[in-house]
Amino acid sequence: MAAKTLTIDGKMVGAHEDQTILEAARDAGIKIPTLCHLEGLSDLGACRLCLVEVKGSNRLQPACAIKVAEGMEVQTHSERLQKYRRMILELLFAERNHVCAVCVSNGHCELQNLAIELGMDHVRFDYRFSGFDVDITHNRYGLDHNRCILCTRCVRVCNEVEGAHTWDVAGRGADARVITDLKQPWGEADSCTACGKCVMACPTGALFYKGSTVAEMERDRTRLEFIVTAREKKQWIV
Amino acid sequence: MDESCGKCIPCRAGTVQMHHLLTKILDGKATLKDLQKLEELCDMVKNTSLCGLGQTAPNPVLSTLRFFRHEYLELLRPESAPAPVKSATTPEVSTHA
Ligand code: SF4
Ligand code: SF4
Ligand code: SF4
Ligand code: FES
Repeated sequence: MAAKTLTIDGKMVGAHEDQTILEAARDAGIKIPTLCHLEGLSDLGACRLCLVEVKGSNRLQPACAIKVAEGMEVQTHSERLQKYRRMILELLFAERNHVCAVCVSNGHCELQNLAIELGMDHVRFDYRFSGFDVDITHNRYGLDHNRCILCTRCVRVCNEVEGAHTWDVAGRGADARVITDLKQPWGEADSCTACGKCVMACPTGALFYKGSTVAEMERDRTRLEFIVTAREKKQWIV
Repeated sequence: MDESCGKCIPCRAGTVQMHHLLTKILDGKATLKDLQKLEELCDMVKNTSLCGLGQTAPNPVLSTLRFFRHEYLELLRPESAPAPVKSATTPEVSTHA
């Protein structure tokens, strides 16, 4: 496997040729914010939080989806990028109803953590107050569309790791929503094996274990990584 | 606003907010702050969207802001408009206004 040398934030970094900028940065101890990326799943570059500046390119590049190249010069935390990232978070908070104080994920939410980390302390856009349904027809899990950020981690984990492909996205633009099977209630979606992987993968309070109340929804992502390592590397040792 | 597919956030949520801000301006309810917000938002949606739709959606707003800025300013709430309204002869592109 050929090695590539690049600079990230002025630091010389060595990486394998099939690594993404995000992976190379992580190995070098540089943290790039992400939301739609989840270790072990395919990447689609949807949340745009991981955008970085690559010298010689006039477009910003999603670090999760772009492979490293020899001599690449990457900036991950310029003032402009941080400003864009904060604005993306503001848009997410304004799009649906994120009332953290009454949310199952309060304190364990990736969206909330990023807002704190990036200093997004208020939302300048008018809230859209989405009035979507909450689906609690499944006997173990629940789905609140009003907290969903459409990262599609649930869609990908269910398809790529569990192999059930229960989830999909229906509708477009502001009306887009995740659905189970052919848009029937989750409890009636026959393809669901009730494995719980989607609940473990969800970054927000949109998917939750039934019975959890405010701030109780903690996720065990190490279990997810364990399954992926087992499948990809045929290693069952943790 | 039925064009965005909804995959990336800047286009999905950004175009909705752009439309909302433009409506606010047309209704005479906007302030100079809203206008600045609109410009910042357009710049962000243009530069961060995943595909050509989001990357070009702000263009009509940006070019009307550039060439017909006085018309936007005239529509702002009276107390928030800058005193002598500037003429349109000097196109301005600054995103920070
Ligand atoms: S999902 Fe996260 S950001 Fe949204 S209300 Fe819950 S804790 Fe807050
Ligand atoms: S519980 Fe498992 S099978 Fe059911 S929807 Fe979630 S990931 Fe798919
Ligand atoms: S339900 Fe959760 S994992 Fe699925 S798209 Fe929404 S936020 Fe992402
Ligand atoms: S993590 Fe790269 S676009 Fe979402």
